[in-house]
Amino acid sequence: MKITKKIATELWQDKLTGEISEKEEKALDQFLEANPEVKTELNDLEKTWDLFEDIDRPEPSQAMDARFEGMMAAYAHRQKESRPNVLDWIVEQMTRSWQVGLAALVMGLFIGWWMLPSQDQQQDIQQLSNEIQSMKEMMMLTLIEQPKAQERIRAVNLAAELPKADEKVVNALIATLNNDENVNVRLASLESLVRYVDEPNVRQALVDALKMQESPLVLIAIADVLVAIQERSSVETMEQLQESVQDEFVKEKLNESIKTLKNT
Amino acid sequence: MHQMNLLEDHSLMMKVKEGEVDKLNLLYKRYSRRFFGFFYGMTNDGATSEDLVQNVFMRILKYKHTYKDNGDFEVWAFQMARNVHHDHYRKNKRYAFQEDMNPYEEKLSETKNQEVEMERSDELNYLKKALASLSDEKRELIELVRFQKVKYAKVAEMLGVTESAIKVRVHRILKELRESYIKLDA
Repeated sequence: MKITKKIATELWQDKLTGEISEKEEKALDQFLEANPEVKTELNDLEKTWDLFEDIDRPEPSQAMDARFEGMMAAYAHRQKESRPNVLDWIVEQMTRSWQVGLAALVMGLFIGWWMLPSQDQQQDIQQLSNEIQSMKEMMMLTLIEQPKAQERIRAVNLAAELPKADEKVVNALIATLNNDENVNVRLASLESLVRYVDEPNVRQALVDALKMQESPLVLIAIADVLVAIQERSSVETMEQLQESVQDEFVKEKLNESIKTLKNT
Repeated sequence: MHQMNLLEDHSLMMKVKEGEVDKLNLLYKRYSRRFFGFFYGMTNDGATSEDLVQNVFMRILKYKHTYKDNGDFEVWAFQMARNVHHDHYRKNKRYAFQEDMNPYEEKLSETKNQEVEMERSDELNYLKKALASLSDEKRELIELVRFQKVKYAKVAEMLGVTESAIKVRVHRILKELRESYIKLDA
């Protein structure tokens, strides 16, 4: 073993910490015998090293241990408090890996499909709403024949509640608009008919109704509706009516309506 | 330190990492005195040292997830202690190494064999003074290898240098200390 001063110093340090092998120690001793000045230096340093042994360190106070225990208790308490609830856990699981997320999605779809009302149930509901509709229709058609104007207005309003009016109802409303003796009932039926102006026969019925009406109020209301729905085919009827009608106010109204319809 | 103990330190820390936090109690029993000694050597202040020991264990808890599966607890924990001390030093800039004996040392002198102490007390006092006059970096190295008996290889790992470089440094510091206290003695 070729030894230099540097290696000797390292070996000497291994010796100080008790990590030297027998063979290494022998080699070190041989080197030191041959190099007395190094031996003297290391011996001196060894004294210093040994002197450290006598530097005593105080012991910590018991308060240190108590504080540590306190910290541990506080930590355990915090952990307990911040323990995630079930919902957090589920969210965490779902976001952790896409497989779990996908599985949850599939499960959700399955549950949704399972809870969806079956075809049969939907049919039942459809049937029920049809029955209600026809009951309301029947009631409306009955009420509209009643002698009291109040009852007839109720009937007309009932027609407005029906989700879709069939021909019978629309015809009853048109008949009421044309023939009912009470102005209020006629106005109410006009209001209900407005909901069905998309249908051509309703539009035509409104144009025809102009010829049948005598009440200025109803005439004006019908003219307003025709202008609002821009029914140009009514212009001719209005012009005829303008000549025959007596009421100046109605005349003026018809004049305005004709102008508006022609201009649009 | 016994090899068996080292393995146990590692497996204990692994358990702490996995959530069995109460296993830290055992590690505290094994290391708190060494950390206290290390901090006392660095600050010469018992109360501060106790604070810093507390800080180390708080950090161990906080950063337990960073402990590596192939880690060495002694290296990791002393590294943590060094960081705690550096942070403390940065905040407090300089320690006043008091010449007078503080309450911690007074307790010591009562328990010591008075005669032996008298004989070597001068030399010891000079050594203590020499030690106090070392730079923090040098004192830390002596503290680790001499007082806390951390193996050279582990200190080398902590400081990121070779074992041989550590030995050279320790050798130089010993020389510096010796010259310094001989000068004081004269």
